[in-house]
Amino acid sequence: MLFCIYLIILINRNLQSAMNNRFTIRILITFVLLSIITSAQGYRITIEQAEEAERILLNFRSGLLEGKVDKFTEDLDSKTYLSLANGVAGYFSSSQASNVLQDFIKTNIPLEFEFFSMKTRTFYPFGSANIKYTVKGARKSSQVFISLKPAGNAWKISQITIN
Amino acid sequence: MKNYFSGSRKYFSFLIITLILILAAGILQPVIVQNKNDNWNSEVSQLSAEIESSVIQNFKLKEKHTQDFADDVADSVAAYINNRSYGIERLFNFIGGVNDFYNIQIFENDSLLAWNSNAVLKYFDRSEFANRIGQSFFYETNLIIYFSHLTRIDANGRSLFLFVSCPIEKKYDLINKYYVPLSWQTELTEKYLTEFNVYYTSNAQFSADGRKHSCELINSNGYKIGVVTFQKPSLSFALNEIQNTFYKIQSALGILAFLFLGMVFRRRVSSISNKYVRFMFIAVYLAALRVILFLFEFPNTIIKSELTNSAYFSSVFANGIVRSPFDFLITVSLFLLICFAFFRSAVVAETDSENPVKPSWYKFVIGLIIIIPIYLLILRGLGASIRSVIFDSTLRYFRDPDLIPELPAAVMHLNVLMLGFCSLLVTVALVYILYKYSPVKYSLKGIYLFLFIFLLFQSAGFLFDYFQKQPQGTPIIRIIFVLLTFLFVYLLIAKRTSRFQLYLYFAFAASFVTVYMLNFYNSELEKESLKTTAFELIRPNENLLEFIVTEALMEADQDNNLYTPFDAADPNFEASAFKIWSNSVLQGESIGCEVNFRNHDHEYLGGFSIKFDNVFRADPNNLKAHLNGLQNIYHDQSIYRDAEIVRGVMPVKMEDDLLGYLEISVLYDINLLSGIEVPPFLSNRNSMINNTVDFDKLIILEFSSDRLIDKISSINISQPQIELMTSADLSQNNEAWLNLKINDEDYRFYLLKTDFEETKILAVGLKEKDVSWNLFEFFKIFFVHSLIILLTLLATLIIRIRKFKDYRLTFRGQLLIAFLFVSIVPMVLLAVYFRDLTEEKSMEAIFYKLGKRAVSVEEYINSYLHSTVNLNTLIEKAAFDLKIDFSIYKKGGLVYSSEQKYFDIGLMNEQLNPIVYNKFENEGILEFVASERIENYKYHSFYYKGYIGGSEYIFVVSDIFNTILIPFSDVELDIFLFGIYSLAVILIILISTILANQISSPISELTIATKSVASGDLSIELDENKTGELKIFVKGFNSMVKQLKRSQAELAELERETAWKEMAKQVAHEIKNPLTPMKLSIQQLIAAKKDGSPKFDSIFEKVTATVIDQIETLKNIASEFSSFARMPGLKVEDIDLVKVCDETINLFSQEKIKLVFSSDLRTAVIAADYDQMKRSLINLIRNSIQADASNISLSLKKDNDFYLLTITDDGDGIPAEIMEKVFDENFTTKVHGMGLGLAMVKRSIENVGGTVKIETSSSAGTTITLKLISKAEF
Repeated sequence: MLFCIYLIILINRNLQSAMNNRFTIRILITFVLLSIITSAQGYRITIEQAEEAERILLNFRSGLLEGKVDKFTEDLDSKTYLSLANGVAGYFSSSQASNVLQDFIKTNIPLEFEFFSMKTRTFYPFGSANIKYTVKGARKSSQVFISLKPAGNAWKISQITIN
Repeated sequence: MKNYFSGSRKYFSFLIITLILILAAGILQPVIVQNKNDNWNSEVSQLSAEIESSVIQNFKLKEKHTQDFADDVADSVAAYINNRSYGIERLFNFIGGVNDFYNIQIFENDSLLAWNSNAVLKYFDRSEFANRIGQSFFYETNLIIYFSHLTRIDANGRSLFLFVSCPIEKKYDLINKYYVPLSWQTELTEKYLTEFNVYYTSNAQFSADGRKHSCELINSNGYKIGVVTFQKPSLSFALNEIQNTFYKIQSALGILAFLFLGMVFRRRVSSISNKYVRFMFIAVYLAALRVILFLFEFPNTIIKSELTNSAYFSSVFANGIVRSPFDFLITVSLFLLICFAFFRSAVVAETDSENPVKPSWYKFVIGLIIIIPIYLLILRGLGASIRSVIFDSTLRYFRDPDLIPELPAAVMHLNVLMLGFCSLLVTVALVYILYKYSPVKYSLKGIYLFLFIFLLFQSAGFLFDYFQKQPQGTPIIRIIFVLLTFLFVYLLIAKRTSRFQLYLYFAFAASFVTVYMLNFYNSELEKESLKTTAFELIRPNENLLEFIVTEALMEADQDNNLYTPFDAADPNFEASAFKIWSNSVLQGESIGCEVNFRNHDHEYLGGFSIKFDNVFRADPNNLKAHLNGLQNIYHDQSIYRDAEIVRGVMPVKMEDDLLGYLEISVLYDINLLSGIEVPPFLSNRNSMINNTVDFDKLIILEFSSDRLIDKISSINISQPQIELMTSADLSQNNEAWLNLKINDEDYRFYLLKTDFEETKILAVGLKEKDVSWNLFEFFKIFFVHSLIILLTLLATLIIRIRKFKDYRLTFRGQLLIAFLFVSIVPMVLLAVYFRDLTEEKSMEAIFYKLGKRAVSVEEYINSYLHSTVNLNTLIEKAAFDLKIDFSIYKKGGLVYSSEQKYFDIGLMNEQLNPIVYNKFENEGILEFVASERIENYKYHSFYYKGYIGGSEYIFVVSDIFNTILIPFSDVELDIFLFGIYSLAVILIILISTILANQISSPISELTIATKSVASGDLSIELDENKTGELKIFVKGFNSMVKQLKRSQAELAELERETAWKEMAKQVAHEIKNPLTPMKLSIQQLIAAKKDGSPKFDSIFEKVTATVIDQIETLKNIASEFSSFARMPGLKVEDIDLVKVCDETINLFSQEKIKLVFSSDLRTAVIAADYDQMKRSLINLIRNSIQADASNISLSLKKDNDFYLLTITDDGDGIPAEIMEKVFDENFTTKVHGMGLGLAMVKRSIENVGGTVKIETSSSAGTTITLKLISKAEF
């Protein structure tokens, strides 16, 4: 940032008066703002991290559709918040959350699952989806919200809401 | 035939039949499925018709009940009115006591005359209801739909209308324990397993969807009052059900087949001689059974209950074999059977065996190396399991103060107890096996070795924990567990405690250990919950808030009645907003939110909010609403406290006409978590930030740049404490734990950095528990375990009643029961009385405080009242200034409430409580406390008749909205009483046991001494060092025994003398007889010789013959007397040497010597005279005592066909010169001895074919061995 400012000053000194001060000030301000913004991204989410978050979200989707919760069990946090359409809500250990979800999809058999919103380049990646399922022969649909949180170098599923 | 099908063959036949049935089911299933498929069309019509018929029948029944009830009430009301002496209060009393389920209202001239409970109809317009008189119909209020009946009553010239209604459908849903669900629609859905929709209006239409079936609800007057529509049974669901049913049948048969297989091989396994091989078979079978149950998903497929709900408890153990409390129960029950089998193999079979293990140092050391790690792993396993019970469960075993837990928690308590019991069984058996291999036992060296092993286990345990990353449990619990194990092994070996008693000890010890562990891990969980709370507080980020708002709007959009309030003549936007809130995701998320209806111009029409201050409400000018039919979600920033709000706005249209807008706003403000109180009947039972600990007990602090910027707590934090928290070392995960002392109380804090840019730290803290809480938590579960143990004991006694029917309570037992009864019963009564009294006083305090508030309100209003002041404004000002929530009624109707919104919604009734109305209006009472209810939440209201400006009003202040602080809440009182009194009970039991032992021990001493005397041991002498009557009694006893001994000796001497005299007389007499003829014969011979008789030769022959005859006679006489002088006859029978030794040992229990009997044998049967054998042992022991021995040991072992009983003492020994004479009769070295003791011993033993031998004798002691033939060889 400082280097950019120096460059601008240098260029300005060498330009003729055709380059007026107001213009210089505007350029400076722009550069300063850009610098602040980019430096605020000091804790940048890398592409790899974003891809990993996306992988977990998609893994969750396929696990639900296939009825195999153990596909994403290891991605569950040690304290995962669940809020499900069958009334179950609260914090569960990862093993318990896995079993609760397994029980849920046994009764509410998923048919379709589509993300309509997914944001992975953020500190708390999340996805919102539509899920269609059948329960006792009747088709129903719900909204799904799933969010991740950082756990060391990995992501963990911290919340699953199916309502 | 019967004999052919008995035993294993019977079970084998069952097995074959079961397998055939499984096969048959497998063949039948596709046939049935195909048949169903082919005939589905006709079947679905039939099924639909059946469901319709059943629903109509259900409806008719409801109608009949309501109608009959209404008719009965009408008749009674008419009778009351016809009775001229009736007063209106009697009518109130009558309808108030009739039936709580039905709401009754009586109108006269369109005014409400009397009512009970809730007044459903706000007002009665005859013209509106004209065509419903005498009919049943559905009446809809804002929140509830009622099934009603209107009747006209004409009596005594008056015309009244009786409106009876019962609630049938609630339009809202609350997620808390007070909510009483009510939905006929849901009832039908659950009953018929298909989705139902019930439309409670006469305008409802049939569904056009071909997949659904509709039918009308026609009342008894032939009018349509509603429509029921249900999803037709679907083929896929029906086929799925068939497949599930067959799967269940085949699973059940498969399990049954496996059980039969076990029964088939049971006898063969029992006959295996090697106990360890037998155990392996049993263990493998039971483990396989568990796996099969798991594979068939039994019992989850059959039982659908809270016990099979993994939300209560589930663990990853063994790939999910324990995924619910019931799975846990089955697993631990089978594991218990395996542990029992192991214990029996290791301990019981060992002691019964005639070929016990051959101990050696080599085996002992190998055993030590193998057993110690296994032992410690078992302990670690127990710790890990208990940890899982706490951490992998949503059950909070310690949070709720209820003594009797709910079913899932009760089952988990049982599981934990059984797990602890299993651990003790296995560990005790392991240590027992180890000790059996020790070559040094039953001696001082053996005791030292035992202690050494104990210390070795403790040290190994310490090292084991030291080298682990995460040790399970605490050092204290490990020490206690090892101590208990060794104590039980000692009881098993040295005290020969009965198995039944031992199992009882195991059970209580297991309870103690597991409760301690549960308590420990629960404390860990509570600390962990601080972390969860911190994450919950930062969880609602903007993404989630947007999702919640979107979701709530979408759910509202799907409600076909969304437009209703805009269209209604008397719109109630508040109730509609409340319904939207209660049926949406908003309620579940426990965050501040508001649901509002607005008109075209965005003006506020009405709404419902929770934890949402009015200052955060959207400005109509800034409301961002689209007109094109889409939702608009946006962020709003409030200037007030800088709170963030996410708003969503959606247009509400009917066809294409815009009616208005629905606005949903959610707020996240940490300080609002404690700011605005939510009434208990609306609070969310789920999560609520933290469900491990009461939220009110938490301290929540927020720091920014080392300053405290926000807190939820009444406690003040000092600057040094703030500095400690802000400067704490955070880990890689930006968290830390901190212990702090605040106001002399210990607190534990969890610190979390929440902002990566600024140094924002969130701290969540909890106070460490005090003694009474810790005691309560311990005894709460110990009490439940004790109940389980006692019930099991009772069941065992009932099953084995024959064995126990001759059991008699000892004197000590009677004393103990008496002490316990005398101490505990009054204590319990006192506790109950104290509790009732405290509760009563607390209630009085509450009513007093409520009363004072009511009077304060009246006084305040009256003090500011004057003609220019608006009364409503003044009343609002009173509520604001006094910070009191109250309501005011006039003539039975509500005129003001500070919590008006709950009345507007319809959760609270605007009609005055009928009991209060009756009391005030008709009985002239001025104040009254009423117990009331919203849903199932009970509260108290203080009603007070006051005046405002001369007009009569009724002021109501209740504890539902006004927090009244009392010294002891019900919960705190229960905790305190239960904790302290439980400790007192334990102390009473201990002290009573000690006292009972002390009082009964002299009696026991006397009993044993009496038995010894009865057995013939007159050398016994009791210690006279006693006091009081006992000293006189003991002295008397000793004197009696000495006298008895003297008398016995004298009698024996006298008898001996008499016997000798008699015998001498007899002998003399008998001898004289043959001597006389002998004398005569000799005299005859002498005479013949002198006379020179010629017959001398014949006389000589005759005389010599006679003399020889008489000598023969004399010889016979001598033999007979010799036989007669022998000892009395033997009574030979089968006796158990072990029992004889045990009983003999007991006779010397009061002697000041160490007398030990040891044997590996459980029984040792020989053929002998019981009394003589016992007397022999008594003689030998008595001799040792008289030889100044202080340690005498008896040991019994088997040596081929003989039993060798060795008596060893450390007395003075037998001098070598008299060694050979000691067994001779009449030989004695004692001054007062008769010299018959050892002689009798020798004779007794030899009489039964045994031998007695002095092995060694020296100044260090004597060893005598009796060798006796075992029964089989006799």
